Amino acid sequence: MKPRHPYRITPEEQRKRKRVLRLEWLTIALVLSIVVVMYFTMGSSQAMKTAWIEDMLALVPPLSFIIAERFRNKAPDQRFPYGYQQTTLLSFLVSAVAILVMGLYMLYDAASGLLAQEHPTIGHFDRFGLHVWAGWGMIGALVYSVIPPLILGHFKMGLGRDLQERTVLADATMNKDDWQTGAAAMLGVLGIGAGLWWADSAAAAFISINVIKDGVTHLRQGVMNLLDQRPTDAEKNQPLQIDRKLQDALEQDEAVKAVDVRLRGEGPYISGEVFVVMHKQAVTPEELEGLKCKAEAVDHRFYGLTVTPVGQLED
Amino acid sequence: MNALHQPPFPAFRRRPPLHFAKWAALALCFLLTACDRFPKDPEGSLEKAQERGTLRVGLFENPPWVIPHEGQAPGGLEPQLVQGFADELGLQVAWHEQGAEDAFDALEHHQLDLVIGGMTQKNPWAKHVGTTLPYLKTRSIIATPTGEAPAQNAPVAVKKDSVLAALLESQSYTPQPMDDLAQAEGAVAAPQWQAAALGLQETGVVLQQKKHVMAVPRGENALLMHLESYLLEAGKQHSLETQLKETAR
Repeated sequence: MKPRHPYRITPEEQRKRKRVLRLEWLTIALVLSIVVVMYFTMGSSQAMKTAWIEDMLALVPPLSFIIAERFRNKAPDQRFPYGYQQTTLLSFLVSAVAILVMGLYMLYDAASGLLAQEHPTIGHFDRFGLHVWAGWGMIGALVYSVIPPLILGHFKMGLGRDLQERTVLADATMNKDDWQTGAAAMLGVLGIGAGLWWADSAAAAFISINVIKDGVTHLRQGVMNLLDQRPTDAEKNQPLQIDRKLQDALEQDEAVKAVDVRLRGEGPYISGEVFVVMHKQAVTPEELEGLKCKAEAVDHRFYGLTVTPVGQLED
Repeated sequence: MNALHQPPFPAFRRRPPLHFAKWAALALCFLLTACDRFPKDPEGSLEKAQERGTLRVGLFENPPWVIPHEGQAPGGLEPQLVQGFADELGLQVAWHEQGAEDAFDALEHHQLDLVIGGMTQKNPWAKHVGTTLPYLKTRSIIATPTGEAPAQNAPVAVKKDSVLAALLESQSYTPQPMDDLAQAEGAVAAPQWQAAALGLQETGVVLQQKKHVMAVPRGENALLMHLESYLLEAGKQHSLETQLKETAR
């Protein structure tokens, strides 16, 4: 078998990918610190517990990205002649399923707390020689849990957009939306303080619905990616006008009579077939190779295009 | 103007530090007043007890923590603490001696305000009620007249039918069940306060640790906070262990 040539990554892309990788490691370190702080202040608040699980879920996208990144740069080989680029999409799908399942579990937990009329018991915070209401400790932990993801999310968003990396964009969105979780949990804790026992479970339910929403969005996106969707913008999922651009570029060639394309998104890259109708009957391999080079020059994201001469475009 | 006299951070000069201090003080005032009102009881246990003028306390026997006396106020460490707490709030105490399950059932349904019985943090009812933070940590230990630890497999006296016999076996000692530990010669396995009451020295061998708590209705955080504050303060002012030792004597 003849494997594809490896994707020729531009130095710009290389540099940005390295930055994303560093940011993802930083995310893992900071999220772990948040998880520890939250654990020690959590107490018996359902909202805190749910926010804590949500914070742990924030580890899933960075981990899946880092793991996928290890494989995707392997050159295509005999066993996987199309290469390993799709590993990021696969890890995206897996993490979407994990997030969705956890979200459903969290909603069940919160709803059963509401039905059972769980009254959260919160007394003194008794660590480091401090004796204050433990709710204040929880709010402090929640404030801390909101800030690092907000900053990291902002930076990852920009890089994800530049690299058209869906995993990174999804992760950044989750990070940026994390403040809602923090705010909801804070309201839950303040509600407990105000003597409203249901505020806690209600906040937990709100958080879990947010997580489910994330899970569903990512799952849809993940399935569309693996179904070889037409090339779309990674952030807005709108079709790119890149097929039109490719056709226009090739139609400029004097030897070409008509062009059509069949493209698919392959993670950040775009692959597929180009069908050409030539003016003359006999086409040489050199001419085809020339057309392919011309096609791939249209955008650096084109990867492994094949050019097929056909008699006519309609079947 | 001499450059040296210019402040290094001009921005700070425009906003004098006093400004920040004022805000911080305001925030602190807010927090403190908020702390006073915070947290509240969803079912109003503390307010209702104050309206009623009595604190309804369920108890079951567990000496030296709780020692009921027919027709009068119970003795033991925990009734003493509860009485002190009620005095501080200006409340009478209505004592209700009953079985543990009944007591917790009544507490869960807000028919009692407090349940005591020498419970620890691991008590099986903790899922249905709220518990205070541990107001006292105790250990069960091996003690000897000299404080020297017994050799492995050596006989160690232990109260008959006590869990400590099993714990001794798991640490490779030979339990010697006895009716009265005062009769024992040599090593004894017992709670710290009991060993101290017997005049024995600790050997450093720990068999079990317990964190003692009292129970309140679930989520009644105002009552809980007041009780915890009292217990923390009581623990600071008197040695609760000395009291236990004296009760045990």
